Amino acid sequence: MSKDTLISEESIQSKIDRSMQSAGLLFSASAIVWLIIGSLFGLVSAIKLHIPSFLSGFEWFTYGRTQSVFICSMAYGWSCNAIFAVGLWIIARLGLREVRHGGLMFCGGLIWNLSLSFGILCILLGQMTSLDFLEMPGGVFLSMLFSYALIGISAFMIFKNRLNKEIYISQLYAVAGFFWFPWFFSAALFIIYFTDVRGTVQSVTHGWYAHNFFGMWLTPIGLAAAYYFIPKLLKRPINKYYLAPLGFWSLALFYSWGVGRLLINGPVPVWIQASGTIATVLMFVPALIILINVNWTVIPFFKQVFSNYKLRFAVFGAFSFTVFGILGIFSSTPDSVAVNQFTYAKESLSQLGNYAFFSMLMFGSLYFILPKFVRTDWPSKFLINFHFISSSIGITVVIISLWLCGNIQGELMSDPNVSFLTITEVTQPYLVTRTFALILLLLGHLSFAFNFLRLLFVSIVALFEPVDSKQLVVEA
Amino acid sequence: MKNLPFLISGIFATLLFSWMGVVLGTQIQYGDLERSSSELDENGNILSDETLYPEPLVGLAQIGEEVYTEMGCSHCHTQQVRKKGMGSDFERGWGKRQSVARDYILQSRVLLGSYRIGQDLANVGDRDYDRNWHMLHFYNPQITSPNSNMPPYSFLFDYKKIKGQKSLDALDFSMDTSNLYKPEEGFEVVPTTRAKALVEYMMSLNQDYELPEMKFTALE
Repeated sequence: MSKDTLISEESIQSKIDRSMQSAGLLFSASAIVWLIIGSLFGLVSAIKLHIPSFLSGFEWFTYGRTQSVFICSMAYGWSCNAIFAVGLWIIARLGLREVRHGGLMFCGGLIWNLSLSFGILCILLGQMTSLDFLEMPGGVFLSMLFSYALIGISAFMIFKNRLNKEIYISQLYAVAGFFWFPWFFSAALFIIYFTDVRGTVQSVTHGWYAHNFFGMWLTPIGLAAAYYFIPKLLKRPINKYYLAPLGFWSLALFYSWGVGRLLINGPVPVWIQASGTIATVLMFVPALIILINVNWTVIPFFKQVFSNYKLRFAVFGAFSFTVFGILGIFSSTPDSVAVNQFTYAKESLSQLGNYAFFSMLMFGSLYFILPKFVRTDWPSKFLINFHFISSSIGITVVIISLWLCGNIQGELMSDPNVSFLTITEVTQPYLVTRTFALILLLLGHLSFAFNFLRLLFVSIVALFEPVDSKQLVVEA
Repeated sequence: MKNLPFLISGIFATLLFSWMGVVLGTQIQYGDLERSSSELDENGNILSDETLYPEPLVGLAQIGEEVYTEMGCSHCHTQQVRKKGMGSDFERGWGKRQSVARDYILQSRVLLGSYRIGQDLANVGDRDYDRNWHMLHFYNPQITSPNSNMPPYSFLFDYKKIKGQKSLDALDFSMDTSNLYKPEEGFEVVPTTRAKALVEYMMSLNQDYELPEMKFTALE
């Protein structure tokens, strides 16, 4: 590449960053606020499992509701907003196309977050359904779908008008995620809220939605970030890049069939359960390719990972995906299901996917992107390090304690001579451990939020300073 | 990978494939399932002069189902019995047979649940708990099940001074041998309509009937 094209590419890149500034900051700030709200409610729910009288006098804070608020604010608040910021930025950056409809995206983000706030209030007041991830009233979801349209259309326009015609794998994952989400969101929403589908057909549809929410929305964006940031920060090409499209298409084809795994032994047709198990086992194809592509790119240069804080988050996330794939496959065998079904082991696996893989990658991505929006570097490296240490240790403890707890719970539950109250007692120490780990996670999230506030403050102050002293630390 | 329409169609089609298989497939297979008698006649028709199962919820129990939903009970309780050999659902007496799709066709919102932090409730109405036990259990689970981690739902009850005679539906605390949770002298605990509805719902929960596709599991 000649020097001229390099310079023009850089100017396009900063143009892209500026064009996404207002919407990007709205998404990121909302994501962080919801992350704190979600962690607080998650902590309250966790405490209630070993101190049931905690806050029990208030109907608003009964376990069923705090747990629903935790799920919804993490899913639609933290995860979706982080995806909007990171996914759109990756699509724009790789297409070398600035955002033309920043205003549209901003409005979309505002409506999304206002609807979500209203929905959370509805849950606290008891206006909720019994379906995980779909607890809020139908109207709230319709309004969120509408606001998503504003964001999704802008995403499509950026991609369609891209100047760089080559499509990279991370772009493919990101664009696919932005297509899949409205597809399964509207399909499930319509079927569950606006038709009279009843009985366990509803459970299957709901399972299909919840399964896709992770597999066809969080996973593709998480992988897009892994494929984008890890080679970029390491300055190394992806190992065996030619395998990547196969990984993508096999994930696209197999993942969403895995829903039957959630309904095994339940009152649904046996073929649903069987197809779920087969699809889960077939997931070893994409999991292996991602292991070869992403993780093997990192392994020879592991020393660099420790010195780069953004890379540490991303690598932690990418390796968690492999662990998630392996555990997911092994825990879907019939023997294992008979023990682990309905136990905390399920929650452990879900935390591994949602937090250790997805959220860690989003943290790394936001640490990379946010300084570009405000053209100022992070004010405190200490807080970033603290965030990494607390998040990585915290989530590891959460996953291990819940995994052990779930397996013990499952074994004891299979033994009819052990009373149910004994099982509750045996699981207590693990649940207490989890609570302490969640406090650590919350501290990490608070340090992230505080650092973000300082970043905003510094950049606002810089606006009023004379031009020559303005900080313009922008990493390439 | 430069052909945009091809790419977008592929992305669209992969999800369509699983939607058609999983969602549409189940709806076509048994979306129109109806109530049925336990036995069928020789032509495989429902015996219309016999009781049809599952039976709909009546009266307070319907409101109770709403209370169950709005308290988020299904975060901790399943309502599905697995077949004998899967876990110990059968041995624990949680049901006489495996739950099947037909058991759920009258539920406008399914309450299958996915965690067993608490016990399975598919047949709780058929087990040895009476109304007062459920009332005490909701008021404070520690009374009936010491060391349980179920939260108390005392906000579904009124704690009030006895005026004249004790209320007819006041809770009977004779089970509370610890004396920790009894109301003070001259006071009583009275369930609100929601508590009564929830208890009625608990009492109505049972899959104690055979269906053409699923008979009771033999004991041995």
